[in-house]
Amino acid sequence: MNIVPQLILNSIIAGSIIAFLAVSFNLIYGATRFFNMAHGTIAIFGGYIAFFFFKTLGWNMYLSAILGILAAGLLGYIFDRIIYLPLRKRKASGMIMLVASIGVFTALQSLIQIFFTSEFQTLSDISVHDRLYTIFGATITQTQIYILIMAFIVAICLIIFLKYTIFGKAVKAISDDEEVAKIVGINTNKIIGLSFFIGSGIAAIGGIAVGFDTGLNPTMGMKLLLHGISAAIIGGVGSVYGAFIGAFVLTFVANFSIFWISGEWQEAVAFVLLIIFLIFRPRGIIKR
Amino acid sequence: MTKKIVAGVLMLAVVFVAGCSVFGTSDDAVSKPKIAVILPFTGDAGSYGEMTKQGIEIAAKEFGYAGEVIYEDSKCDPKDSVNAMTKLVSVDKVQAVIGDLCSSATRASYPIAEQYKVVLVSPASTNPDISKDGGYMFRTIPSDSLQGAFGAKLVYDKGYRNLAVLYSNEDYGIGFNTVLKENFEKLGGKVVASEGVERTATDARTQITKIKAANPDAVYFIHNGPSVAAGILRQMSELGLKAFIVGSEGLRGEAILKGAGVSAEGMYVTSVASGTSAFLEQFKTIYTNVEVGPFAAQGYDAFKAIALTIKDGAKTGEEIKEALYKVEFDGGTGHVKFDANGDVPGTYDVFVVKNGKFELVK
Repeated sequence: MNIVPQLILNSIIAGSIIAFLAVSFNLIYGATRFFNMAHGTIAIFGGYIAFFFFKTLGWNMYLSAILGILAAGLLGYIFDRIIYLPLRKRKASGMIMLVASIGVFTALQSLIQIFFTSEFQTLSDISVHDRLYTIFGATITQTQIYILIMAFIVAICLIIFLKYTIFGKAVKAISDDEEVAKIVGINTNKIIGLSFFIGSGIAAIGGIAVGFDTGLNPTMGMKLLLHGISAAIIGGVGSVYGAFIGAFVLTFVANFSIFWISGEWQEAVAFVLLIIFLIFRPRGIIKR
Repeated sequence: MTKKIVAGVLMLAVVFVAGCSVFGTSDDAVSKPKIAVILPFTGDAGSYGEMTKQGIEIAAKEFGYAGEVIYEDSKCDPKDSVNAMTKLVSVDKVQAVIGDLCSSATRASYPIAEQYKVVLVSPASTNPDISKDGGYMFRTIPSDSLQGAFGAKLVYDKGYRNLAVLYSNEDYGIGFNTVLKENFEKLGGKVVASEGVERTATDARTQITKIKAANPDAVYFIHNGPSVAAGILRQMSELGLKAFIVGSEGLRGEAILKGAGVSAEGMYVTSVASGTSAFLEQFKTIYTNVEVGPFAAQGYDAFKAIALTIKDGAKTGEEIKEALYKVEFDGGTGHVKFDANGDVPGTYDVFVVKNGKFELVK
């Protein structure tokens, strides 16, 4: 049996979930220049909100997903307004912002644990088998096809949005130099707030995808973010295109490496790749 | 002048009283040994911790320890288990600890227990190497050197000759995998694939893909995080793995049924015996409407063993340890007697998932 097609599919599926995290992380990083450690947990938060409306209240699946995305976006925006913005105004260093985000991460994770318990929750319907499709001998589920389509749509929309709108240009200006951007009349705080909203919303799509794909757990946010950050660094920190490429490079390497060596090394390989990039090409595949 | 004398006398009195009370508490600690429990109460194995606690509580009430047992949450994480143990031996100054659930957590915290001469009795850790860890280590659950042999025979007797193993990559999974492989090959079968997956990793698709390519007719799935394992079971059916699936006792949890649904149907699970009929009766009278969990009887036995030694006059950890090697009683799992390694023999049950429930086979 040829397992290469299945390995390619597995890599693409895992890659598209990580891509949501990596892209949104880079979007926020591009505007704010700090490592937002709460980002993964905000993604999971979106997944849990969707879970709440869809499974607990029994609402429509698509509506629940949209509510989850909006709620996460709003939460990201609120955190920026009440925590990061005051810190920025006081000219806090990136390190202080990072520590603040670790605080947000811990508090948010505990809150999710209180409301949804620490047990795994799944968004998919487990009482029936998911519909399966076969491509070149590899199987893919209906849910996974949706995830792939969503990743594709998000990628296209985001690229168009960043390239052709004032917002996209403003984000670029701010990441080049926030002070100068201010001088030329860009309302930097408004743009940063907006990028928090959009970034957290995109991350939530990833969180919801995880909820459908493998299930949600309050503590998985950090691991998700670690993979997202690795992909972002491999692809090029702050670059949205790079994040997409990084996510797929990471999952292809991790999945194909265990084709030859035993499966328990998957994580190790992913992080060795990250170290190789940090040493030899610290600015990633696509330099900004 | 008199003022100064009065003040001096008062100060002496204060120091004396304070001194007494300090020594007083330590005297109390020696007169009634403290028992603590380290188990996961949150995290993916949290449900197992709760079930084990139910068994411990029954024994604690029996021996007049109700409300006096200190519980610490380890999340089955070696780091948290070590923190809990350090706190228990240095702050609470306990003499005996029951725990942990996951083998890797037990093995991580044991050296601290031994250093402080505190007895550690695990109701659930089955890694074969725990037998060799040290004199203060006991368990009321049999080592996986027994379950591995049992599981290998089960698969072989069902007529399957090509076995693949998917195991969680930590002490429990690695230990079980080694023993299983050894025994299955001894019987004349062949282990065609053996893949590890990180204990908390939710995506095992590539490992399953590799297993599927090896064309096994049976798959042994060794994991102790039931909610993570449930997701992996779904991935097995999504990827079209059509083989006889046997799970280790870590898969005998509600979370498997709730998380895997139809994907768990038909799966066999080998698990330590749930307990004697007397224990099951007793359990039902106290916890109505609760299914007895996989380690409740073992938790009960762990507490009973320690409590019996205390009742016989053991006060320090060292005395409890010496007495545990001699103690013998009829407990929740049957007749309990620790061997020179602090291990107990044991029997296993086989369950099958049928219509969303675990049903006892034979």
